[in-house]
Amino acid sequence: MGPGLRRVADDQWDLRMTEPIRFTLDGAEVEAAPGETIWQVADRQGVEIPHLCWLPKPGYRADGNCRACMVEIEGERVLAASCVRQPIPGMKVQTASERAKFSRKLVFELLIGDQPDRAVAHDPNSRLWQWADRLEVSDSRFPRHAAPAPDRSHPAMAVQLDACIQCNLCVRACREVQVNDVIGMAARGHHEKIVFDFDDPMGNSTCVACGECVQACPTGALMPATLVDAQWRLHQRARARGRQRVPLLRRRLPADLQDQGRPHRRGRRPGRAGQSQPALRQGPLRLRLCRITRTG
Amino acid sequence: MRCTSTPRVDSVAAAVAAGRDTSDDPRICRLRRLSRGRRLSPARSVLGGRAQARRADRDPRAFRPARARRRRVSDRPQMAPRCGRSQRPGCWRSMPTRASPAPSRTAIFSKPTRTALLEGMLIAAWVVEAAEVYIYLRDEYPQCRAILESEIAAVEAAGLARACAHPPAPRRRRLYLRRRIGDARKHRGQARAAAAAGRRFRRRSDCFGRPTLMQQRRDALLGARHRREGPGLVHRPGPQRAQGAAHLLGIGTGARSRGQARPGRHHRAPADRRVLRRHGRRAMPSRAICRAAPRAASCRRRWPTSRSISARSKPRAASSARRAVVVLSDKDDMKAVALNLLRFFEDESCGQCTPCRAGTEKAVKLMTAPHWDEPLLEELTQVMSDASICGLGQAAMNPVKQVLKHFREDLARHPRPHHPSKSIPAKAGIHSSPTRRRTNGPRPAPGGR
Repeated sequence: MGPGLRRVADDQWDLRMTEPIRFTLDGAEVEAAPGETIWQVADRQGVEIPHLCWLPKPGYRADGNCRACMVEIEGERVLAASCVRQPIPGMKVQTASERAKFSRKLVFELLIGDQPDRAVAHDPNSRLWQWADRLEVSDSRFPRHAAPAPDRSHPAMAVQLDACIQCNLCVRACREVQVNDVIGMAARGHHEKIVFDFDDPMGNSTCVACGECVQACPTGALMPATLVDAQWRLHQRARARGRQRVPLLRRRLPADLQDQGRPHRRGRRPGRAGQSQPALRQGPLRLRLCRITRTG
Repeated sequence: MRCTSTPRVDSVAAAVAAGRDTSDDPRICRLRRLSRGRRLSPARSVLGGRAQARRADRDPRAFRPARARRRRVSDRPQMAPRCGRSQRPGCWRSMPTRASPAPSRTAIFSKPTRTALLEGMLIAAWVVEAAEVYIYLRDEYPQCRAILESEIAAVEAAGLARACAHPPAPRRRRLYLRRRIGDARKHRGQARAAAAAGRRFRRRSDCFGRPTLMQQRRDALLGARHRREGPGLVHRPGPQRAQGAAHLLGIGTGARSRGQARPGRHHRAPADRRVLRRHGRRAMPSRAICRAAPRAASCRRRWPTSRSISARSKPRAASSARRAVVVLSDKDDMKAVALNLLRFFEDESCGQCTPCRAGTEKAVKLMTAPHWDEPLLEELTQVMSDASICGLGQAAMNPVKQVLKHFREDLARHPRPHHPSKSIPAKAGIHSSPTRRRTNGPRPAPGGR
């Protein structure tokens, strides 16, 4: 933010605290409440902007690192992340300009390039894949990054960081929402990864298994262990029948796999039929964890 | 300093320095005669005695000789690279101590070189019959400026020269003291490369074949010393000087050492323009200039410095964000250079945002391939510069952009497993513009120069 812009913001500070901010969103005059971001205003207006590292739930802070929600602001050199950017009066925002759409699409292509193939994805219905569907990104032209090994040390949660997009949501969930501060970000650049305590296996860490990170993860890098096990058994069964590539996660699990090892499970089963699913589910499977043991 | 007439004192000094028998050289004869003549004899008294006495009136403590703070550095190892700043073998350095809060002032007035400069300039001007003499001084040393101004006034008062503004009388040359916008570190890279190669770097002439300002200063000092001490002095190793304008006047300020905080103002000239002018104006068309990397990047990783700035290969500039230019040979593979830079950015990326974290990594992978996927790289370039959070990601693909724009012929080169400059013959004139190629007549043979 340059000095000119800052001065404008300072001058209108009192104004902004009390009055709505008028700006232009895709050519339409809109109003934003003080403190509201462009994404929130667009969401209110029915404009859909992809988002991965932003979880519109109470307690989650916008971070603006996945760059999936880029919008174009008139007069600015680069695009802006709509999930963190707050409008100022008179701002002209284009959410669907070619430049912004192109940028979002390539960001998804970059992310999907490092994901496991969708046929063998840990959660093929994750928010990442759903948004990729909407943006019509199915595969990536970029070379693949070496996948880290899965961490199955925790009895309730599976850590499969080959699907991680370093969006930081689980860190914020652990640190800011649940205030456990077990998960952190380690290393730099493309070596960056989430770690539990001092890069311990999750089962050996001080994790209290609250499940908030699993709820927050947009890719299936953190999943309920039971689901992964069920997937695995399903996968093995399909392999035994001679099918090489089977989608690992089904909406409805076979009956013999449904109730294994989940004595405390409450709420909906994963993918119970007959329930109206929202357009975008927030967690991998909307799995509610037990309130006592916080396991699946 | 600059003499305005065509014959220059550097030819004399070069002949003397080269150890030639110069006894027959008419100019040297005139210099020798000069030392015995009375023409310049007032200079010594004026410059040495009067100025010193005048200042001694104000603060007598300031003029104690600085001998205690000097020490001889062993000259056994010859120019070991990266040795301590004051540990250069074979050189005298004034070492500031705590007991002497103002060693520079004492050094100024105890050293004879402050007069030798003006004296040598006047000799040189007399030899070449120059009517005007210019001294260019950077603004970093206001104390130098004050001293020089007073010394010039003393010279003027002695009737030896006239400090501008008046029509030149016969035998009264005009002396100009001018500001010089100079970069103290302009030769640093070359000096470092030369030190690594075991040589001393000293630039004697600029790209036009004329002596550099610093070379003319050396010649002036040499002329003055020659007059005082006779011709044998050029065969002895002389005292090596400290830095820039400080040792014009023999100032041994401890603070002027390289890399330390220096007092006064610092001017940063547009060094890229100067480097380009020096190295590549004739050899390199402007379209070959490539701004590829910030200086931090260009200094970090395996840059082929000594090779790239050697005069043997045709220079070609690449790089630079602010005031840094890397001049590369046309035998350097620009794809490799860009890949090197991208590896640096991949290493430097903090990993916060997707375009930079994944983009630099993917770019390195794409650029490691034998043939670049240009459309994909261009798309990646656009998204990284549009969507990255900070300037690193936004600028990381600039080398790729510049290679795709300016060095397209390098894209067609076959990747080489070994040293780039050894396996591929030079393509002379490859970077000339078509018009230039036509008008320049026959092209030099490949591998020439």
